[in-house]
Amino acid sequence: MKEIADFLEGYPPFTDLSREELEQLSTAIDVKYHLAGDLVVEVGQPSLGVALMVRAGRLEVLGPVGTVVDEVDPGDLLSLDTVRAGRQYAHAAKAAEDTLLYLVPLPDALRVGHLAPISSTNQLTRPERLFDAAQGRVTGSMRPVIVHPASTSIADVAKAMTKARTSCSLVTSPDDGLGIVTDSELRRRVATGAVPITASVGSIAAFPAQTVSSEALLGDAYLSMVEAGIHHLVIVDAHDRPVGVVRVVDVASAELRDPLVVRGAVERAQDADELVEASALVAPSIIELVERGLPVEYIAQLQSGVVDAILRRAVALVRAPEATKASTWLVQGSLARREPLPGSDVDTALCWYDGDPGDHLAHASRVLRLVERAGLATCDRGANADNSLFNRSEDQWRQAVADWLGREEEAGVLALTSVVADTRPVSGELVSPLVEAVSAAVAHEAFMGVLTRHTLSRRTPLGFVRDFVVHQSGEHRGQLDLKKGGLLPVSALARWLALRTGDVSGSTLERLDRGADAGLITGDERDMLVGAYKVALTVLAEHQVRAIKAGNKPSGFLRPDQLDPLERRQLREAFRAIDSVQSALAAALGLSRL
Amino acid sequence: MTPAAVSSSIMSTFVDSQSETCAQLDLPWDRARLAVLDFETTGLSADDAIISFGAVHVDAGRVVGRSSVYGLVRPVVPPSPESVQVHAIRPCDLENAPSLPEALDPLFVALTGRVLVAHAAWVETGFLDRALLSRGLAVDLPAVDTAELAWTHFGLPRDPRRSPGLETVATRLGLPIFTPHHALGDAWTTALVFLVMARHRAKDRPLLLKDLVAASNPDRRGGAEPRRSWRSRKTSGTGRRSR
Repeated sequence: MKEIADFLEGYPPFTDLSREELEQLSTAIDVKYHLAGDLVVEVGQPSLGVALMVRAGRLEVLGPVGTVVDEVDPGDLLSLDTVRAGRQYAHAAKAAEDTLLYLVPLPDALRVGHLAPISSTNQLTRPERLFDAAQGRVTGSMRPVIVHPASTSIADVAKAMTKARTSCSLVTSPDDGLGIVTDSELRRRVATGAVPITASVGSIAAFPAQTVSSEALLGDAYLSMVEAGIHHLVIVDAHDRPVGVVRVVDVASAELRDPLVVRGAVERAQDADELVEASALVAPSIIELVERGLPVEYIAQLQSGVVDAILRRAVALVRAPEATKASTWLVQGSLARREPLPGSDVDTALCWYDGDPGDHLAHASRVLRLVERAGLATCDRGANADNSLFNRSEDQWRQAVADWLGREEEAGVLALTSVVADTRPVSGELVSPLVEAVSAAVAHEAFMGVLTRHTLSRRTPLGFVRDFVVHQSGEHRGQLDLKKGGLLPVSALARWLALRTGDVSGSTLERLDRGADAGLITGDERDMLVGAYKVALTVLAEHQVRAIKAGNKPSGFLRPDQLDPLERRQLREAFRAIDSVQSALAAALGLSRL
Repeated sequence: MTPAAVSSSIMSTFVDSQSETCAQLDLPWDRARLAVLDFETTGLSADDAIISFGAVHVDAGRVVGRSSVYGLVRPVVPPSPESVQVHAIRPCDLENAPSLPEALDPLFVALTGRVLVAHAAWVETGFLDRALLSRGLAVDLPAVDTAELAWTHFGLPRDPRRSPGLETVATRLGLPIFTPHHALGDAWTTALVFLVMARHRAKDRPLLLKDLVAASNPDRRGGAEPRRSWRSRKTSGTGRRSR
């Protein structure tokens, strides 16, 4: 039925189907009609096995006491997650006006977690197709390599590189393994006369060469180059044999190169002014990447690589008493998980091993003032390394962990959770009190109990009614706290999963993957949460970029009237997906969510 | 069995099931089994013929997408150039189509045991009557006529000389319009029009299917006027319908 296929084609998740699939699906659709006021589904009614799509008219979703908590407009689906999961309807729905409904049997392809971040939709209309490039295999941009033993003379290697028109050579050494020498190294070391051209190439090669699996994605290869600050990656096969090399210029389009340029300028800064000048490029490059539609989770990783570099450089540039050098700078929160938003604060902490507490606080304060001059916002809630609560010696951290663990109250549990699970050193190893704290916390039954209840009690909003956000309590608000209502419920759940698996590394998305791999959530639940998280992250990042460009302070809040219909629809589905996974987990654990 | 024998058996089954069909009339409209039907024809005179049919079921107040049937029929006389402009089915499109009576086998299967719904239903019942008569079969086909229901739905005085157009009615009801002048497209549009008008009529009181059939045949109400025959309707000049 052409008319039905045409209609479905305009709305997610059907936008992902081919025309042929749409035509086929359109022949299987039933149609119902309801008058205004008709009850369409009841609370607790089993899933109809089909998705209810409004063709004309409007449905209202009713809360526990009959208040309207959401509206379903033409093209919208009622409780898609209910249908996907084959669960009972959690809310009643009635026709707000005379309403024509399509009853759509979901094809298998659309049955599982299917929320796509909005940018991937926008991507279709954008010529750059950055996303597609980043999702390709690294071998697609691979160049052949030449290999020389470390004893070969630099002159011979340089000749071979010119002949092969390549910008690097791999170097093999019986002692050091696989290394690499690049033309920029030749220029810097040999052309300046620092090393004679007759010397062996092993004397200037970098060991070990950074490698990446031939299975890796191009975007990931690029990220590891940004993080390591290098321009060449050696591609190795399953047996660790080099098969080619990928250069940053091959991987990154001109737009994508920005973060690496910024990072290079940051690392070359010789004084505070140069650091401030180099850092001025951070915000524009992040804005450009968001506007070009690169997946937000990639941008967040690029951003955290650059922020780490600024922080490291600031620590190095601010002169300090010798004793304060024995310390580890830590980043916390979303930056620790390498998923900051464009407007995210930089939350820091310090662990020191020697010296005077006052010196450490004073040094940290000078470092953070420089970080602020460089355009990064420190935490306005005080999670900063120049606050004595976050500036402790190793013993003091150990004592704090023990105190929090002993108190078994919510504030302590949350403080400990963020310290043990969302803290990352900007260089070096994670400090030992925090490593020990992970296993202590996981083994602490009362701690995990409080954390579990708190994690599952974080509620998403229910939806939107006109320009209000409707919360589970029935309350209507004129502002959507997307950070609290969309991101935190998922990141908290992922953190809880990470603790339960005993491995707290990585981003929310990586933690969800591990939670599913460990069987703590199902693959479907993982997909639902990943989709929901990406949607919330993307909407918030795009709104923050708009705020930054308009000269406003970016925040986690947005007004519903700033959301376009597609964003509303995707957020509504994201909220429901999160809520249904939370409910399923609470039910499985025998917890009430009230 | 030969194709002709199969056709004959399908048609007989259709006729034999008329008591079951009539039993539907005493059911509430949204529990009855209905079939919404549309024909495209070479024209509207008694000599004209069916060239395509489309039908879809309505069960329990719901249009059932998978029940859709559509087919072409090769007529003895090819469609006139004027009618081709309306339905866009050219004589060459029909060259390989089956001819009557076999061509209508899938349709009669789809209609068996169901009360008909059509827009300006006299055309559909008229052509069905003729198809049955050619086999020596005759039944009274109860039908719901969405064109007739539209007069009362919109509170307009009935004009016996014309029928409200299907697209006009659907548009006024805020409904999507399926491919116009395609038998299955029009059957679908008619099915949606039927759902809306029946649901509104049933708003304040129980509505039996026979109430809808009676409202669709105002001339027969109270038995005061016998149902007009196909020929008398054609010759009386009231046969113009805009679809």
